[in-house]
Amino acid sequence: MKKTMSVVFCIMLALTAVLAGCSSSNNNKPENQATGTGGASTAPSDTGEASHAPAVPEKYDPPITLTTASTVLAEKLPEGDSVDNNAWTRLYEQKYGIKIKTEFQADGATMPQRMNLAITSGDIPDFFQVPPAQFKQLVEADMVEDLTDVFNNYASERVKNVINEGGPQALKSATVDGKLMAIPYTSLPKEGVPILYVRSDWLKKLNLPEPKTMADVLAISTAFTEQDPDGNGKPDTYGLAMDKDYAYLKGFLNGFHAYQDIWIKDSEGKLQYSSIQPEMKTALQQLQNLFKGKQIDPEFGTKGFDKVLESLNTSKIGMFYFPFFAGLYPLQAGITKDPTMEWKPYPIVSVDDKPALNQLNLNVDTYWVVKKGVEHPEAILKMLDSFVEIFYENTDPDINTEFVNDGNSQIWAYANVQAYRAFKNINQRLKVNKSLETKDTSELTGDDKNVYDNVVKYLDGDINFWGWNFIYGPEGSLGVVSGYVERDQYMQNEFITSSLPIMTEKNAALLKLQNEMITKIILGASMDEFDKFVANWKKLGGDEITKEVNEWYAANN
Amino acid sequence: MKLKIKPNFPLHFMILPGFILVLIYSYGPMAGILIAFEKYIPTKGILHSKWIGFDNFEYMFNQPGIGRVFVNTVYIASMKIIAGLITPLIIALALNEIGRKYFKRLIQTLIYLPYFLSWVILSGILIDILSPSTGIVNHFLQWLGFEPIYFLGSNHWFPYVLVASNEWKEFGFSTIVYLAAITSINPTLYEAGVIDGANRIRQTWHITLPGMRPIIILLATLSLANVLNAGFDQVFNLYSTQVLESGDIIDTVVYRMGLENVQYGPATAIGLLKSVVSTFFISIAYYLAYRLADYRIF
Repeated sequence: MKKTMSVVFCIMLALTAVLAGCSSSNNNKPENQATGTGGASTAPSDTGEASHAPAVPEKYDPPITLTTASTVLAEKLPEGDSVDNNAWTRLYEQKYGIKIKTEFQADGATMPQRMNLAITSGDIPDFFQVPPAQFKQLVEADMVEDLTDVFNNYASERVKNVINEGGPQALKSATVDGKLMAIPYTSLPKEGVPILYVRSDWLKKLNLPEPKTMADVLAISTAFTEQDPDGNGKPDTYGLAMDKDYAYLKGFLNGFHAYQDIWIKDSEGKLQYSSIQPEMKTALQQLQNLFKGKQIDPEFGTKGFDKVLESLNTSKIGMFYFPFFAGLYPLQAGITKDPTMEWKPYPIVSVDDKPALNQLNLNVDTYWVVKKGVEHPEAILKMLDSFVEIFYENTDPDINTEFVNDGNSQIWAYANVQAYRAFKNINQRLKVNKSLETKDTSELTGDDKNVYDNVVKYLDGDINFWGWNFIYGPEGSLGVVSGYVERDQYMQNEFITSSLPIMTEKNAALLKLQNEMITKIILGASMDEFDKFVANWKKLGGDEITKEVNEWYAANN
Repeated sequence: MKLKIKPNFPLHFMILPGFILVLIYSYGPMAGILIAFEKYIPTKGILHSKWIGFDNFEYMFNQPGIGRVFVNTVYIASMKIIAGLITPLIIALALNEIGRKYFKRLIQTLIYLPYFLSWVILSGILIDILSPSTGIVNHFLQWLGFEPIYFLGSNHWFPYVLVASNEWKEFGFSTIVYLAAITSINPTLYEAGVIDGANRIRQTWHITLPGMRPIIILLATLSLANVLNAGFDQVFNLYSTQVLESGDIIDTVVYRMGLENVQYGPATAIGLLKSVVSTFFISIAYYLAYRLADYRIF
């Protein structure tokens, strides 16, 4: 399931790539608590470096070479360019005197092993990104630089704003013993939370109200299963989507105030494991009812993510929980084949009068580390500054074509150091919608315009762009996300560091117990299985883990 | 025993590269056995990681439900060994009876093909054909009057599905070996048998099988090495939480442990355990073969 979630995140970020280039023009009023980019008005040639630190030349002379490692990208570079010779590397060399040399590359699936190899043999590049577990390994093996002063002194204002936009947890999670050991590669988890998607043509056909509460959702599920909404006379439709790794569960669970595998504060301020709380029992009972009522595919146990997506696109399932980009993936493929399908996005619903909160993990998936002993660690902050400037602030269409999107590929993906703002897509949608109303596109950046054009193409009748409108249009799924942000409908996972040793020891066994229990209950076992599981979980290591998590929490907060 | 190298020099030379490869890649890494007894941290290396004796083994044996996992492993692996001996034998004997040469060759090739398919592909196919709602196996069952069975979701059926599908994939290999053994039997023995009045069945029992005895014993002994190898590839691609009770094997447990962090220590410990057990069983089989069948394998 973890693997599925990282696939989801990768897809989310990849799709965010298609919406590249959110510029913060001076007219952009933040609709939420996001801190605006402070350096919005600096001209492109100003790096905005703080100057109260040991002087570091803007451009290194003689030029320095920094080695790195990266994942092979699907994006193609223009003719003649390569991973060590492209618009970005030439920029670094001309502006900063930094030459980039990529020591090795691997594809997304094998990169963890390749990196493990490099770490094990001690042969690591000068700077690169790693997930939390490897970050911890590197820190313990004392192989990476302390970046505390480097960040404080050399990170530009706009870089600091980007890193902090999602909250202080990002930097905290990269801090070990009070020292910042990496630059967090911040991402957009608040935008990636589940939305409830419902077949609206089925709703209309069966005369059902739109879902505002969990009771509505359960009623809709029953109706979708029993009242033959696809009109083919066969009982072959299901109410709710479910896959064998339980990747679709969060939205549903969160509606019951139950949370999957995170650590939340109890009434005494101590951290507890969410999956053993009584709300989880209620939610699972409900899933059991759904299964009994044949509202969930009885073969979900052998159906992975992709198979379930197939069922969605062939009108076999009527509701599912998925992040905001469902319009493009998976639904676009289904709509292109069957344009009569209609879907509508809704915020997740609650079982009572307390609003449902989306569970949220740390907004950092990987960390930028610098090998110990590298002479100019501040170099990566220069490169990061260029990225933030060009990706988020630039309005010059020529620079856009050269560095961000040349019409064929997302060139920005090749920038060697990156970090994302916490809210990008929802702001982009607002700008596009304003332009749709006023027909005035003068304030849109190159990529806002790209989105705008795609939405217009759909509105003019091209069904192949349905997904764009479904996400960014006036009633698009991102509107639901904006709502979440406005109402702060989030439950943050309080445990935001890499696994403690005790977790590494016990987690595999505990997760097995948990998954077995969930499956047994959904398939119809007595609810006592839940209580048995909780007792077992505590006995077999859960209590130990809880104690250590709280020790960590007390020491770090 | 004099070492006759000179006359056989070309043969020794031919085998030299393979020999060197085995030395480098199979014997050399044996030094890594030490990892099984250490709290191995990759960046510290084999020589500097903390020595913890049998703690890794203890850790594995203390995993909740590990008893059941061992039982599953041995049960599935044993069934596969037995099926893997009987099925190819019967098929080889049957194929031997086919007169038409081209037909025989055709069948030989066809049965060998599934051997080359990976479990990733086969599992996709199996999930489809065994589906209780859309699979052809269940359509057939329903046609016969039975209720559809959720094979891959039932703890009762899952081990048998594993064994049967694995056999279908693998039997081609051993069948070919047995067929080769059969063809090497001296035809004059058959002629003598016919003269004595033996029909086909008697011929098979008194000539063919004894003639194959060395090969059968060899394959049986080698297959005993797999008594703890229930087949990770296959199980991993076919299992789900519903069948953990009957389908979880040692290797899938180790795999899940490795997902959190790269746990070289416990994984090596299990690998070592499996090797030790395999060696033990092979030794017993070798000894039994010598005692009962007067046959030295090496």
